[in-house]
Amino acid sequence: MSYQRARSFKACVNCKALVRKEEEVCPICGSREFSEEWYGMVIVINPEKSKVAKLLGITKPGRYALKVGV
Amino acid sequence: MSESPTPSVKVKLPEALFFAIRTTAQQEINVAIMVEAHAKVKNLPIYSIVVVPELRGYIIIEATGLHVVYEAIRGLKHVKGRASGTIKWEDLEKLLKPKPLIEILQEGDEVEVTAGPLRGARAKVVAIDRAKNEVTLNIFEAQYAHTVTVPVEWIKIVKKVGSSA
Repeated sequence: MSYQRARSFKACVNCKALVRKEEEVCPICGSREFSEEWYGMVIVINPEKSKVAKLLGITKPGRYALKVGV
Repeated sequence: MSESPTPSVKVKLPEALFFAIRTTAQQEINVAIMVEAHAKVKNLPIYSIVVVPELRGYIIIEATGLHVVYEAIRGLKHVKGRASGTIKWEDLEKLLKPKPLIEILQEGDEVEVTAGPLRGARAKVVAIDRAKNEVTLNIFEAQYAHTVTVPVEWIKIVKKVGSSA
């Protein structure tokens, strides 16, 4: 399902946050490990009220991948 | 003069609902990003937007009501409309956090080997090692009783034990 992979983002291996390719540090967890293989996307706008964010354990607003790596 | 205490009014926040929006295929992520921008600019009560690879041509919006969704998608490119009704939380949960295959698998299930030297072969599960993430299979096509142990990632379920399909 490579069509789901937007070319402009890479995913943090630690917290699955999606960041622009030029960024070197994850703004969510501070990790420096990224993967270009990611699938699905969750955009959390209000983590306190979102059921999806609670299920996935997301506490900060932002863009996240559903699956990272192969 | 004594005043009766005013009853405290608890404002109950509306329960979020999940709406499916139809998009042009392969444009799901772009639409989701545009909906996010709309929600932020217009300050709409949208809690999250989900793009699931299994649902091609659809995105899911978690919002308080349909009017919010219509406001968010109004005028957006690649939006083809809205699927009627809402998505049940249980169904979305399955898409977001699918159970690992090793947990679903049962002894007696019919599987197909998808990797390794026996790729393409059909087999029956005879033992499951959940600690090692391995399954022992009895290969159907073999002319003699042939059991192999393979990683669970190498198989897919064809028929569950007890199911008629």
